[in-house]
Amino acid sequence: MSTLNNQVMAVTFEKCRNGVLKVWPLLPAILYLVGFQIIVLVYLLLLSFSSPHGNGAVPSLSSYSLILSDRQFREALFNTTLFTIVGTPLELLAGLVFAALLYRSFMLRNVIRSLFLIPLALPALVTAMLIYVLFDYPGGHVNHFLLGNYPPFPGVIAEPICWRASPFTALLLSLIGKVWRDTPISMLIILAGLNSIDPELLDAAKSMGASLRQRFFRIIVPLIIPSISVVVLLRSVEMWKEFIFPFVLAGRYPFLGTLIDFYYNETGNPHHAAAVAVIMVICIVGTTLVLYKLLDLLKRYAVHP
Amino acid sequence: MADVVLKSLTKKYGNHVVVDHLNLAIKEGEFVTLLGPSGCGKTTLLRMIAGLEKVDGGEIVIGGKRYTALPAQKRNLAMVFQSYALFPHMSIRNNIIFGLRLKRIAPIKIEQKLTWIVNMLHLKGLEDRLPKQVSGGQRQRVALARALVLDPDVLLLDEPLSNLDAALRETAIEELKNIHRKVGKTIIYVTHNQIEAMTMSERIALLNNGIIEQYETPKQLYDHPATMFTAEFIGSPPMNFFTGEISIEGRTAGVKTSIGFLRLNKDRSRRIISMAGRKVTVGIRPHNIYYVEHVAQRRYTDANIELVIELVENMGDRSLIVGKSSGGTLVRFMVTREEEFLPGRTMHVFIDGRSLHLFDPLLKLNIFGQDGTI
Repeated sequence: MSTLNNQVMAVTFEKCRNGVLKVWPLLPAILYLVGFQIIVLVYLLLLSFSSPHGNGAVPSLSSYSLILSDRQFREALFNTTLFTIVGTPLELLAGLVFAALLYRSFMLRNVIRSLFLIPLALPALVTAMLIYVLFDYPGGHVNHFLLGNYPPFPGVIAEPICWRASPFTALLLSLIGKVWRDTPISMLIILAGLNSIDPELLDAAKSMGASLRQRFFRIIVPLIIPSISVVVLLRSVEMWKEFIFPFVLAGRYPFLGTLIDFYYNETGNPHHAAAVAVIMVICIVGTTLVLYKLLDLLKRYAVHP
Repeated sequence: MADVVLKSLTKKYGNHVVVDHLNLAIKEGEFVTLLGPSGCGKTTLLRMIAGLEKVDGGEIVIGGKRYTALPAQKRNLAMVFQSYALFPHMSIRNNIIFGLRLKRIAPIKIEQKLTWIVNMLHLKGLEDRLPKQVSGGQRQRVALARALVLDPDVLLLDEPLSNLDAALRETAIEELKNIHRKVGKTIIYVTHNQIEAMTMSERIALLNNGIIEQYETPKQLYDHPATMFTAEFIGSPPMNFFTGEISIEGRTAGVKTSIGFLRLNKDRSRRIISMAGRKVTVGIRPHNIYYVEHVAQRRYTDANIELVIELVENMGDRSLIVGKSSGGTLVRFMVTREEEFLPGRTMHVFIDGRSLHLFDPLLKLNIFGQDGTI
């Protein structure tokens, strides 16, 4: 009897050891996930659903109701939505154009492609400061240029423009900076997609009578839909999360990324900051779902035009 | 349907001349194969005709119309690519009607054409599948259907069978021949496979280093190779070559070689009798060297050669034997007998004097010209 027990115990022990052995290589990943993602997320949710004014009971929707009635937040949500809706297609378009330009081989192509990556190598803060200096008031280069201080270009305005004085132009500057900095990423992704197309497909389309435009819309676009999807999904998320460009160039105007900082650092209310962050996550997930649907439609259209 | 004329066509990549002042005339409705080893310029030539490669010199005239500078999409040609180049995101149906749609043909007419081609190429029931969901042979037929449905003046085929297995290739060859008979299109076919070329084409243009070595019917190419390159390239296993000297023995002329004196048949013997002493290269196809047991069966012109068997390669119905003559020259020949041939054994073979090909060793040309041999 005891030998049987021993055997059972030995087997159980063996199983346990196997189990542990199988799991331990995953341990760092699990620790990372729990430590840096799950705990943070749960803490964020708890923070956003608790109120500093009430009795501290969870859940409380007071933070949400307060920020939703805050005009600054509503404007920030509107501005950021606009920023994403305009910025994502702009980055995609710029990426498409530059990828198309760099697709064909020509002299110094690799050098020029490397030059296109420079914006990626600059810290975002530096890029933002460059834009700041360029569009400075009253003495930035753009103002000088428009005033006609750089002959032979004629002046088109009489007074320098204060670009950062209105929310529209200030956010436009942020958008320009953001798109300028991130276009190389979309360009690289689309270029990889273009390079994976068998050139014989285009030859075949050509020999069947397809013009350049028809080849582009009927062959190239459907075949780079996967690349386009990656660009659109990744870039739209980045657009929602944007902080540094609006912070430097449009610091005083409402924007979701900077609003979190404002609530946390200026008004000292981490609950409100957390609520904004949670809403931002909801926006990102919602955008992703909508984009999935749109890309799916596009894919279906490409297969059965 | 149209005839094709290439005049002094040239293509260069940098300093490297790929197609060199090439002239070629293809008759209306003819099936012509551009045959040659890899890198001979045959695919480049086909792509030039299709308009996919820039022409660096010369002219392309199809159906009396100058095509040289016409962009590919304006030429009424259709091409089947080696990789088939089916559009992976389109169903078989959309692949086939892609070109018709671009031409803005009425939908009813498109449907009619689709039905016609789908029936002819046995693609019924596959229309809604994607290219990756059908087999290699079916993909090849879709590529062919896609080209044929456009009703092109000339059909260009770039090694369309090279990705098929041997059995499928046989069927595809039959099918292509049938299609050519049915639709009667001018077909230009590119291949490095001489069996495809020999079985399908009406004429073969044998290419080598961007020039045409010989442009003839398959039979003529095989029986009367005009150049040594043709003689070497056409025929499998390849021809034997021996260097020798024209000399006279008895009353007939022949060639003295390291394997012995090879006597020519009477007719041609008379033509070379004045060339005695001239150095030549003799070519003999392996199947023109016979193993005959009974001496009585051989003709007067047959040269008798003693060989030691070096290697026996079983090819099924026949065997290829490599034998070594007393002078150390290797001779390849075929035997059909079921008797066992073992390396090391000595055997006597006879060479038919009518099947000798004589080439000038420097010019590499057939000394009898193209009307040469038999």
